[in-house]
Amino acid sequence: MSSHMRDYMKHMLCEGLYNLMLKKNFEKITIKQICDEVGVIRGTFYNHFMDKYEALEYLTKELLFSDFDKENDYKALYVHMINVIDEHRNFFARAFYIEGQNNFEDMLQNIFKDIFYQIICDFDIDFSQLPCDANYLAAVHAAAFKFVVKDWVTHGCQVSRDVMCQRVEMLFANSFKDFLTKGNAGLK
Amino acid sequence: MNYFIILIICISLDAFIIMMEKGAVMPSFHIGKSLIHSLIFGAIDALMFVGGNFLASLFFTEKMARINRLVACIALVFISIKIIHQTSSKKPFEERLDPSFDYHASVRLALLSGIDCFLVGLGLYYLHIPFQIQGLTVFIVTFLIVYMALLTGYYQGLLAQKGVYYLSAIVYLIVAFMQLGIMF
Repeated sequence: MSSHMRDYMKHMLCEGLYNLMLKKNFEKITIKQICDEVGVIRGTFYNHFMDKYEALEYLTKELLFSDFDKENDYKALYVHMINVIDEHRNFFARAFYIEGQNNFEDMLQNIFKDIFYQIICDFDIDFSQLPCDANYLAAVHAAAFKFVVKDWVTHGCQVSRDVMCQRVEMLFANSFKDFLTKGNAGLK
Repeated sequence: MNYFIILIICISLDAFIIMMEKGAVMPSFHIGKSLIHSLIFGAIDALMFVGGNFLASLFFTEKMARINRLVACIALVFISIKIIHQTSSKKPFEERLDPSFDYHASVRLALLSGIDCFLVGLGLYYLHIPFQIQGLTVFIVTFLIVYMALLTGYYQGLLAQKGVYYLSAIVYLIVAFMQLGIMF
């Protein structure tokens, strides 16, 4: 099977999973149901994913980053992710219900961590003089961003996406010290 | 004999669940490989059953048929309690590709599920069914059930897993109480 065909089939399986997740809880979704949704057999699913959690991770990455132009800067990435999450709010809201060993929170945090790590590495910072490394910095930012996303989604995305974008930019562009020292003067 | 066949089907339900889970995590369904897995289960369960029955033949005489029935009753109650406990405490099964499932794994699983066969074989000596008939019946029933389990697991996923377990536990209990009824 060519790489293009593989990607297409993965995309189809993820689309099947996405459609099912809008209808029922993730725990209730079986591989047979995903296969039936797409019209393939179990073996085809296993050719691309080990289990439905791996498919969910691929689907989440695809939703978050497939349309993102990597030439854009990291600020555009935040805006892009907020827009995608808002667009697929029902999917993300259901995904946050997944608990246990393979919970969605940890999965999403790891996805964020990977992308933040790539961004940090692109900046070519010399971490030898700093008290933390790129991995640690990425993990802290990923945890914080995941909290923001989860809070927003689980509260029904009541805050508009524009306000969320401003909020995210403000939170991640300023340090805690900035809030304490310059908060009254207004932060950007 | 009907009573015997019902019990054998019940014993095989254990193997049915195990192999349905394995069918659901197989990368592909090969008829030949599935037949070999079924043969392994059929042969081991049959040997365990006949082994249990043979062991009982060394200890129980005609005069001790009542004690043999009691052994059967205890074995059946023990198995049904074990099944209920396992089922209620079992985490939901996650379908995840398992390429490591091979004939060795099948032998291990068959030996584990064969313990029930051994116990039931031990308790059913009083029925005086010839060893070859017992062995052949257990082999055929288990072989068919395991093959069906692999087929069902692969094409349909897990169907009413807990229901099947509870059903077999209930049948075991009913048969155990029937034993008690005959005794007293």
